[in-house]
Amino acid sequence: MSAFQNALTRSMKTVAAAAGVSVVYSRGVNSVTLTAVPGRTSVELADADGMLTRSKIRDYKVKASDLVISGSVVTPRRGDKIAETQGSATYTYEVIGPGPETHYRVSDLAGDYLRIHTKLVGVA
Amino acid sequence: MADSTLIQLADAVVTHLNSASLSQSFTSERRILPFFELTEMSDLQVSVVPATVEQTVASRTVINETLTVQIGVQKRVDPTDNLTVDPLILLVEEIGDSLRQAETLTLDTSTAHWRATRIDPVALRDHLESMRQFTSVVSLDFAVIRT
Repeated sequence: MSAFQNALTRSMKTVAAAAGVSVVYSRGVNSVTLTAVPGRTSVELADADGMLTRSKIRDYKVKASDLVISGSVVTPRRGDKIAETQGSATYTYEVIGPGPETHYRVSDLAGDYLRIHTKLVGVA
Repeated sequence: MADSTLIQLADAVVTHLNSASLSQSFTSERRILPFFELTEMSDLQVSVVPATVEQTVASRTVINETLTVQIGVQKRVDPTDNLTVDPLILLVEEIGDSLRQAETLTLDTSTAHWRATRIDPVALRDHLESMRQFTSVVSLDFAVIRT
């Protein structure tokens, strides 16, 4: 690993420590609690013959090796869920690609971190 | 003041659907602009939208009206699981069949006669991909004779 990549990895660790939140990543009945850094948050409006659906988009950056489901490191899959608790509310986001984009991508040179695209599907 | 014929028709469609025995239960509503948050889409949403009016001359004193209402059927699904999508496609067909078989709907000021049903899209691909949401639109044409 180059000095530059080392520096990037260290900076990612610093960001995770400073801005990371604890989330529960689940696939079906299986889940893992990990630290994720919330990224872009925006709103999207989808139209179909005047029938409008508004969705809140949120990206999470996670360490790829933290994504362990049923004992195996996995990559994000559409339909997986990320639950984030804020105060007394738990916000459930579902892994969904925004439009034609893929639902996740590698976010650093070393491939240590993934950026996962989600949409809010429930608040409890 | 009486409602427009198109609004009367949309309300009659809502009344018909809400009393119909279909494979899934729901309460439809007339909405001029159906607008939902994605978080509301875990429940089945059925919207009846007044869409278009077309008038043609039948005689010097009579016009034929073709009134179109659109019915939006929406719910979040797993697009990779036919077991979650197929029942909604069945429901969409049932909605079209139910109104066709009714043949007529009684309005305040006239009677609307079923003329045509179009289901397009059966399932909007973009919504399935970008929101994992089933969206289907049933368009129904009814004829009304007015003097």
